[in-house]
Amino acid sequence: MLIEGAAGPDLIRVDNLAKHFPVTRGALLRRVVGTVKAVDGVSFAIGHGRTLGLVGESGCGKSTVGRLLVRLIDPTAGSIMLDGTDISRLDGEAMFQHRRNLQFVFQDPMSSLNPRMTVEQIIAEPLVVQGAPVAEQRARVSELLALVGLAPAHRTRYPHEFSGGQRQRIGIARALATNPRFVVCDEAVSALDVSVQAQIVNLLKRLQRELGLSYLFVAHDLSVVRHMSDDVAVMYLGRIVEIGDRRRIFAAPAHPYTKALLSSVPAPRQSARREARTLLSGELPSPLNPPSGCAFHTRCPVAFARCKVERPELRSVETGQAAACHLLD
Amino acid sequence: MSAAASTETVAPLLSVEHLRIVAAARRREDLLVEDVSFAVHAGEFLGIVGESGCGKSMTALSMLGLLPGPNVRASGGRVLFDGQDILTMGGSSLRHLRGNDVAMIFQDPMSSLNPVQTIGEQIVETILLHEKIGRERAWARAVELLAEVNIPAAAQRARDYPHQLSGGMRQRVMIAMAIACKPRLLIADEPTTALDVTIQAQILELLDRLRRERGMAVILITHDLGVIAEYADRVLVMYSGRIVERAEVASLFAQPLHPYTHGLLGSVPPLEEEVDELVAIEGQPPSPGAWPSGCRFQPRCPQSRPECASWSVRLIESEPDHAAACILHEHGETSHAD
Ligand SMILES: Nc1ncnc2c1ncn2[C@@H]1O[C@H](COP(=O)(O)OP(=O)(O)OP(=O)(O)O)[C@@H](O)[C@H]1O
Ligand SMILES: Nc1ncnc2c1ncn2[C@@H]1O[C@H](COP(=O)(O)OP(=O)(O)OP(=O)(O)O)[C@@H](O)[C@H]1O
Ligand code: SF4
Ligand code: SF4
Ligand SMILES: [Mg+2]
Ligand SMILES: [Mg+2]
Repeated sequence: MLIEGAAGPDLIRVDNLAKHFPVTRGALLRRVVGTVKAVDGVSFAIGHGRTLGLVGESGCGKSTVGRLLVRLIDPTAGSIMLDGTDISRLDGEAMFQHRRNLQFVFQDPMSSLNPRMTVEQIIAEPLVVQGAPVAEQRARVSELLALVGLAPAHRTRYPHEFSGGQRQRIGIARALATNPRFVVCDEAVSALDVSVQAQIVNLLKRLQRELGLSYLFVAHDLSVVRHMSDDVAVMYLGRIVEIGDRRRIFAAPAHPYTKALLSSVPAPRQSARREARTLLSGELPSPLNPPSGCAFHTRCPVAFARCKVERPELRSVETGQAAACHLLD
Repeated sequence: MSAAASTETVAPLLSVEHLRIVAAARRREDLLVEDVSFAVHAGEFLGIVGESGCGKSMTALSMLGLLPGPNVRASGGRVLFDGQDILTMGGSSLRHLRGNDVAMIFQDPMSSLNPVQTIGEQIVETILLHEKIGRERAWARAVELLAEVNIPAAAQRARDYPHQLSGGMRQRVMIAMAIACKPRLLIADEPTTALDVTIQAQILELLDRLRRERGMAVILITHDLGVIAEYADRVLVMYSGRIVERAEVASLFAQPLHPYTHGLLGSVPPLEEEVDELVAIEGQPPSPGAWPSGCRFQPRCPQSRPECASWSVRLIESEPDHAAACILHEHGETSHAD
C-alpha cells in the first residue's frame, strides 16, 4: 500500500523524488567538484491522519526529504502530490495556496524562534503572511496557546523566558496556526529531556487525533519513532532501503541494514535481543563517493559478489512491507 | 557482576562522601550538588542518569579536580581516590592523578583535540607526559592504541588531523588518549550523545571491553536509560543536585522505588511492546536557585503530600543495595500502586 496501487486517496504521494546538491571548492572561483545525492529516487505515500517515521544514520537525507516535502527547497527530479495536485514545480501564487497546508517543526526551537518577537507575534506570523485580519489572529493565538498547553499569560513573553519543552510548544503552535494538514517534525523531540520529550510526544499524538494531521516524523530514537508512526521508512545514503508497516519493520525487518540498526539500540542484559545482536562494523561511507551496487555492501554482514555491481530495487516482501536487497529475490 | 559482588569486602577505588558543590551567583550562592555519596570499585561499571542540569557533569568534574573555577567550587564533603581526598589535592598531585589514575572523555571530542596536530602526535604527547620512552617507541604505542580502539588502518590514520575523522572516530581517539596512561578509573560524560545509534553501540562495546580486559572502573554519565540497562552494574539516578535512587541495574528496572525514576521509565516508549500514551512527568526540572524546600521533586510528583515540603531528604535503604530518597519509604511503603 505504501509503494504502489494505493486503495484510498493519500494526502501526500512522493514519486522518485531526488535532490542533488553541487559540491564546490575554492573561495573565489567556486568550482563544482561533484554532487551529493542527498535524496535519490525516493517514493512513498502518507495517508490522511497518518504518520510516516523516517530513520537512518546522520547524513542519509532525512531532513532533505522533509524540506523537499514542504517545498523549502526545490527537487532535482520527481513529483510530490498533495491531495492529487503535483506541487513539486509550483511557485509564486500557485504555491502560496498550498503553503498553509504544509508546516515544519524543527529540532532546536531556540534557533527557529526570533528572539526579538513575543510569543504572540511568533505564533501569528504565518497568519500575517496569509493576510488574516488582526482580530482573527488574536483569537487564533489564544486558541493555539490552549491547544498546545501554554498559559494565556505567555503570549506577551519572549522565547528566552521559556524552557526547551515550552519553546517546542511555541514552535508547534506556530506550525499549527494556518490549520495545516501535513507537518514535518524533524527531530522535534530529540533535544528535549526524557520527561519533557514524553510530554511533547503525547501532545503531537493528541493533536493528530483531534485535528486529523498527517506527519512525517524524523527522529534518531527508534523507540520514539515506533511509538509515533504508522509506517516507517529506513534510509541509507539517500535511498529508502526498507519501508512498511511499523509492526512489521520492528518485528520482522527484512533488510540487513534495518536489522543492524535495530540491534544497535541498547537492550537490557540477558534479553533475547541482546543475544541476537549483530553490531555494524565501520562507518557510513562518504555521500560524495557512495559505494557501487548496493550502497550498503561495504558494511553488510551478508554481502556477496552481486551486491558490488548491481543495485537492488525495492520489492515487496510481505503485504505492506518492501525492501531493497538481493537476498530477497 | 563479579565486581559488584565483592562490594562488601574490598575497599572502593573511589568513594564520594557527602559531596556538595556551589556556584557563586550575584549576592548569593546556588547549590548545584548536595549530599552526593557513592563508591566505585575496580572493574565496576557505574551509570549516572538524570535530566539536563541535575549535576551529573559537576559531580564528574569534581573527581578530577576540574570544577570550572572560580565561581564553582566544592564546599563540602570528600572525594577519596585510594583514600586520598581529591578535593584538597594540590596542583602537582592532581596532575599526577589525571595522568595515571583517572581519565575522562566528553561528549564533544573536537573541543578536547588540537585541530592543528595529527592525532598520532597528540597521543604521543600524552604518552610522553607519563612515560620516559623515546618518541619512536611512543609513536608505535600510539598506533597500537588506535588499533586497540578499533580504528582501521591505524598506522595511516595516526597521520590524520581531527577534522579528517568522523565523530565516532574522534571519540575513539579520545578513548585511546584516555587509556594511554592505563587509568584505573575512566569517566565518560555523555560520550555517545552526539553519535548515531550504530556508532554509539560500537563505542559502548569498546568501553565495556576495555573495562573487562584492563580491569578499569568506568563511570558512564548518560540520559539514556537503555544504555544504563545494557552496560551498567549499578546506577545512580540524580534529580536537582541529589541522588534520588541508587540501585543495582536489574532492581532499578524491575522495581523503581522513587516516583521520579518511575516517571522516567514511563517516559521512554518501550521498543518491544506498544503503549497508547506515555506516562510523562508534568512540568520540568527546576533550575538551581529555584529548588523547593524538602523534596525537590515535590512540584512534579504525583504522590506528593504536604509533609514532603518539610521532609529532611535522605537516601533510605529499603533493600540491600537499593535506596531511594522518598518519604514513602520511611515506613517501608512502596512508591507506586501496581
Ligand atoms: N544545502 C546543502 N548543500 C550541500 N549538501 C547538503 C546540503 N544540505 C544537505 N546536504 C548533504 O546532503 C546529505 C543529507 O543531509 P540531510 O541533512 O538530509 O541528512 P539527515 O539524514 O537529516 O542527517 P542528520 O541526521 O544529521 O540530521 C548530507 O550528506 C549533507 O551533507
Ligand atoms: N560555570 C558555571 N557557573 C554556574 N553554574 C553552572 C556552571 N556550569 C554549570 N552550572 C549549573 O550547574 C548545574 C549542574 O550542571 P551540570 O553540568 O552538572 O548538569 P548535567 O547534569 O551534567 O546536565 P547535562 O545533562 O545538560 O549535561 C546546572 O544547572 C548548570 O546550569
Ligand atoms: S543487496 Fe547485498 S549488500 Fe545490499 S543489503 Fe542485500 S545482501 Fe547486503
Ligand atoms: S518525598 Fe514526597 S514529593 Fe518527594 S518523591 Fe517522595 S512522595 Fe514525591
Ligand atoms: Mg537532519
Ligand atoms: Mg553534563
